[in-house]
Amino acid sequence: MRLLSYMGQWKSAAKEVLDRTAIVAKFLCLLHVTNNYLCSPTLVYGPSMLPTLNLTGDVVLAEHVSHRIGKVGTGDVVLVRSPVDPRRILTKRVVGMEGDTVSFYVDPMYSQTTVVPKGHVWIQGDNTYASSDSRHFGSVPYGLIQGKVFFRVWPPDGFGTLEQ
Amino acid sequence: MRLLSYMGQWKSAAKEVLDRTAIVAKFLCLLHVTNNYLCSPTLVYGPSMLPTLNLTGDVVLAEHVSHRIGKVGTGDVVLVRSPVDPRRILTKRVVGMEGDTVSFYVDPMYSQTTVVPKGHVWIQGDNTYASSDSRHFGSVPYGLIQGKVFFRVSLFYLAYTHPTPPPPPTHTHTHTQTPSSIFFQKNWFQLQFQFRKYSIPRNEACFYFVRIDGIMEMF
Repeated sequence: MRLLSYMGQWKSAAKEVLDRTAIVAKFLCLLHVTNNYLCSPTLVYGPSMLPTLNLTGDVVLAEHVSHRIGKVGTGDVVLVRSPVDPRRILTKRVVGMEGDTVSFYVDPMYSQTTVVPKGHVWIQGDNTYASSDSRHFGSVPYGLIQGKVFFRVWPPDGFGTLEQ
Repeated sequence: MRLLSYMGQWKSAAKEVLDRTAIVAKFLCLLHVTNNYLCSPTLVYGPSMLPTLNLTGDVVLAEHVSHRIGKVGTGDVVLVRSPVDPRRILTKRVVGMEGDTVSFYVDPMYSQTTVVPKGHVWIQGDNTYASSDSRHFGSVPYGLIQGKVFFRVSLFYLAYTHPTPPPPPTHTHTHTQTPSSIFFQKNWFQLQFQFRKYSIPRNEACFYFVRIDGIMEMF
């Protein structure tokens, strides 16, 4: 008799656990879909985008709509999956779109000019002295762009849109 | 008074509409997450993967787990976002991983050898005469891989199975043949013709139910 009452309590407790877990799972799904297809906060760090972004880390908002509808253009700061290491995502600025002619300095004496091929973009970090970007690994296919950065949330004195 | 009752009805109807919409939205969310992160059916068409995949279109199952954990290797058929047109997704075979040396014919006289750089793969279509692949646009970054094809869905051939084997064609046939036997014989010949038209290599992960001499074989 006591065993049956224990089983009854256990069943109701298990049902409540499942309901709570379902709510949490639905919330995580919604959060994940929003992060991937609308807007996501991202922590970016490194010296390659000084002075626009800080060395020690900024929390920026990146939207994931523009690159799917082809609205990424010159001057945008984008999140790009690295063509050298597919598990890393870089934050660089788009300097040239397909068909543009790009000039860059390979070393202080020698400048080189290339045309960006079809379906590719040319990305460069704002801090050209400490950035590994398209000057080193060439044009990057447009399909590797993950999102466009449009707003900075942290640190508080940098709150607002990024400077051009 | 009647206005209040109308508003009460409208409120309950709106609540029911919202509940139904929420159920449909949750189902679509689940379907979308499964398609993007687990497994998705995809229609692939084109001449560049003959004879492995058909010209007029195949429905294949592609899984989206392997490329995220780095398990894509040489010989896999993968879905790759095109580096030339970012809105198109190609189906090609991975022929070389990063660090591999790849040789290919630029024209029938001249062969070229390249080393695949770090973080890139070399993709080629099985039908080298009608495929625009890495031989034209170079190595493709690994990050453009969307999924790995592992199965082909061929429900078309399942329609030809039948529990009783057809009578084998012999010389001593009677003049009067029942319509049902003619039907089975016709299907039998049709099945043979269809099988020969789409000859598939054996080492693929696809299965058919095929009747050969009355024995049902699955391979």
